[in-house]
Amino acid sequence: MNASTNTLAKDLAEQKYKYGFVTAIDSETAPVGLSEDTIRFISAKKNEPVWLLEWRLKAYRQWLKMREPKWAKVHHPPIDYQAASYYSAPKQSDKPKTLDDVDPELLATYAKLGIPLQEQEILAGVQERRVAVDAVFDSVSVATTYKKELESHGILFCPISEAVQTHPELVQKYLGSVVPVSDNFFATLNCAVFTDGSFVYIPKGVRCPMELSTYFRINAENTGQFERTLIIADEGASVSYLEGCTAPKRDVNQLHAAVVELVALDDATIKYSTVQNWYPGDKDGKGGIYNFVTKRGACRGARSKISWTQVETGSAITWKYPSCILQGDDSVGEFYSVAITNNHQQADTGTKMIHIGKNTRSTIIAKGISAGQADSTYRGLVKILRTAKGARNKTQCDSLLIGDKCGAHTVPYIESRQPKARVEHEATTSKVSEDQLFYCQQRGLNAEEAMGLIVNGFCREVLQELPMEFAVEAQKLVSISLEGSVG
Amino acid sequence: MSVANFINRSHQDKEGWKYTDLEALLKTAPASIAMNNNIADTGDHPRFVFVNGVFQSKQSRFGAVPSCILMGDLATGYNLVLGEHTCLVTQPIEFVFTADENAPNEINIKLTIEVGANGRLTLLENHLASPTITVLETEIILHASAKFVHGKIIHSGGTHLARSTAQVARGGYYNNFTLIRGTHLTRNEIDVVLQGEEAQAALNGTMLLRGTEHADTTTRITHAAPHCASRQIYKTVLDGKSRGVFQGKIIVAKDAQKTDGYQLSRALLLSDQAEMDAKPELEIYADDVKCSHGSTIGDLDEQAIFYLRSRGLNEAQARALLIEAFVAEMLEEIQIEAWRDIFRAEIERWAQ
Repeated sequence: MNASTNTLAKDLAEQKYKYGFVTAIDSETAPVGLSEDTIRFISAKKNEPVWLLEWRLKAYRQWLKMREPKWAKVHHPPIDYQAASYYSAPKQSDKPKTLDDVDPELLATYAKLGIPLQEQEILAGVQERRVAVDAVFDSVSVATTYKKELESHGILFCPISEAVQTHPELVQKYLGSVVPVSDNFFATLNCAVFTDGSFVYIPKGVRCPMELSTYFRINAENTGQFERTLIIADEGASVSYLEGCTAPKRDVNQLHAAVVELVALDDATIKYSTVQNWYPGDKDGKGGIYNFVTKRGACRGARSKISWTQVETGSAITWKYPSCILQGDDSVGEFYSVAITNNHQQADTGTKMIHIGKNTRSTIIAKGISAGQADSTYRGLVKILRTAKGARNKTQCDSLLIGDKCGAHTVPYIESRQPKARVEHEATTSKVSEDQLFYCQQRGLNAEEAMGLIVNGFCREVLQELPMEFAVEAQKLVSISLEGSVG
Repeated sequence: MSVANFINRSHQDKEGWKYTDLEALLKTAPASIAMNNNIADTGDHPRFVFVNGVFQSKQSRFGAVPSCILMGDLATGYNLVLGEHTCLVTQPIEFVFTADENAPNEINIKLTIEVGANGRLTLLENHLASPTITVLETEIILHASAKFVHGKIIHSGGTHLARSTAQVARGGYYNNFTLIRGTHLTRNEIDVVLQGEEAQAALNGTMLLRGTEHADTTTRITHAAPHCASRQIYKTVLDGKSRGVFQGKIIVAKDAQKTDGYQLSRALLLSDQAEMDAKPELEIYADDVKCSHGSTIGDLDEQAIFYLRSRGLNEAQARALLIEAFVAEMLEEIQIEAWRDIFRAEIERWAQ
C-alpha cells in the first residue's frame, strides 16, 4: 500500500456526515421501556381498530420468547430494549390538513435535508420529473405530497396509520402476509411496536405517474424507529418507490428495525430503491444507528417483477436482506446493492431469492466497499425448489478493500433441487490496483479523483439501476466518501 | 476421533453442518453391503493394507519403503514420518483400507503424516468396501518446501467421516484430490493452514452420487502468511435422490498480503429428485489480495446431447461422454498420470 491510498483510507475514515444536525422541536414521547402498556399506548395514539392491537400484542408475546439472532458477522454490545422509548412524535395540535399547517421547523428540516415537500408547479412546456414524498419524522408521518393527484389515478399513497383507518380491508389482507409475524426477532419486534411508514396501493393496470418516496428521519434522542411499509401492485400495475433516511449525530446507538413488504400480482412491477444514509457513528465507532431491517417482496402473480436497489452508506451496523419470493411463473427478482463501510461500520447484507414458479429468473449484483476498520459481508441465499423448472439465477458479488485494517466477506448459500434450473455464482475480492491509479494519474487526475473514478466505476452497474434523482445523490455520496483525499 | 465426536461437533457447529444431518443419516445406513474386496494387485509400488483399521504387515508390500517408516498401532494412531530430503520415496505409497466380517461398528483411524524440509511424499488412500463407519483423522505437517500429494478414493459404500488438517510451512505444497463414488454418507473435511510465506495448497475433488447417497465436502483454507496461493476445483454429479454438499471457505488473515485464492464448485443435477447445496465463502482481512470463487449448478446441455446423438451416439453414451467431460477439468489437476488414469477409469465406470 502506498502513501496515497493510506491517506485516502484515513480521509475516508474521517469523512463528514452532513445530516447530523438535530431539529429543536417539541415532541411527545412515550415513557422509556417496552411492555404491553407501551403497545396499547401506541395503538391508542393511532386510534387503531381492535384487530390490529390484538395483532401487535400477539407479536409482542411471541417476541418475548425469541432471541436475538447471532449468526450475522456483526458485533455490538447487548441492546437493552427497555432503555429506549418506542414512540416519539412532534407535537401538533391537530393532524395538519395541508402543508401550510405543518410546523415550519419541520419544513425547514426537510428543506435542509434537500427533500422537496412543496409540490412543484408544472411549468408550461417544461415537464419536470416529480416525486411524491411521504415524510416520516421519528414515529409519525408529517406530510404526504401529491396525494390528490395520485388519488385521481386510484393510487393510494399515505401513512400506514391512515390506511388502517381508510382501507382496513387492504391492510388486514396484506399486512404480515409476506413477512410473517414470527419471521425473525427484529421483524416480530416491529410488528409489536411499529408506528408509521408508507402504504401504497396501485390498482389494476395503473402505471404510477410519478416516483413515490418516503423520507425517514430520526430526530428524537433515545428512541428507536420502527416503521412499516406495505406496497401492493395489483394486476398489471407498476410503481417505482424510493426510500431515504438520515439521523442526527449522537454518541449513543439508536435502533431502527423496519419491515417492508411488497406484493406484486400478475404482470405487476415494483421497483424499490433505497439510499440509506443513517448516521454511521464517529471515527472511533461511537454512536450511529443499528439498522436491523427485514425487507421482502412476493412476486405472487405470473410475470410479476420486483427489483431492489440499495446504496448502503450509513448506519453503525446494517443487517438487511431484501428478498424476493418468486411464486408466479415467469416472475423476476432483482437485487442490486452497493454497501460502503468505513471507520468501525459493519454491514451484513445480501438477499434471498426463492424460486418457486416455473421459469423464474433472478439477478444479484452486490458490490461491497470496505475502508478504515470496517467489515462488510455479503450474505445471500439462492434457493431453487423442485417446482421451479427452467429457473435461472446469476449472482455476482465483488468486494473492494481500501486500507489494510478492513475486512470483506462473502457468504452465499446456493441450494438447487431442479435439474432444469441454472444457477451461477461468482465472487471476487480485490483492491484498487496501483496500476489503475497510476494510469488515471498519468492522464491528469489527482489521486483522490482517480480513486473516486475507480470506485464509481466499480459501483456503476448498481448505481445506474437507481432512479435518476437517487442516482445523482448516490454518486455524490460515493464521492463525498472520497472527499479531501489528496495523495 | 470417533462418531460421537462428529455428532458432538455437528451439534456445536450447526452452521457448518447445515446441509448434513449426521444423526439422521447415520440411522439410515444400510445393514450390509456387497463385499467383494479384492485387495490383490499387480503393481510394485509400496502398499500398506489396513483391515478393520489395523495395519496388516503380511498383506502389505514395502517396496523401497522400509516398514519402520510407518509406526504405531490402532490405539495410538499411525505415524508416517519422513525426514529431510526424503528422496527414497520416489514411488507413490498406497494405503488400502478395508473391512471384513469381524469389523466393529466403527473403525477409528488416526494418521499423522509429517514431511521434513524439502521432503517429497505421494500417498493414495484407497477406501474399499466397508459396511461400517470409518472415522479417519489425518494430521499433516509439512515443513519448509516439503511437498505432499495426497489422493483419496472412497468407494466403500459405507459411511466415511474424515477430517484432515494440514499445516504448511514456508514454500510447502499440499495437494489433495478426492474422488467419492460409492458411499452411504461421506463427510470429508479438509482444513489447511498456509503458515509460511509462499506456501501453496491445491484441493480438488469429484463427487459422483446416485441412489440415496449423501456426500459433503467441507474445506477451509487459511492464508496466514503473505504470498500464499490456493486453488480448489470441485465437481459434483448427482443422480437419483442423492444429495451433494460443498462448503468451501477461504480465510485471508490480516497480514496475508499478495494472497491468491481461487475456488470453483460446479455441479450437474441429472435427476429432479437430487439436490445440491453449495456454500462458497470468502473471509478476507487483507487488502492486497486476489480472491475469487465461482459456483454453478445446472443440467447437461440438451444441445450438446443432440449434437452427439446426431454423430451416432445413443442417449446414454452421449450423456456419459458429457459427464466425463464435465469432470475432466478436475482430472487435469491431478499431476500423477497413473492416478489420473485410475480416476478416469472410475469415473467412466460410474457414468456408464
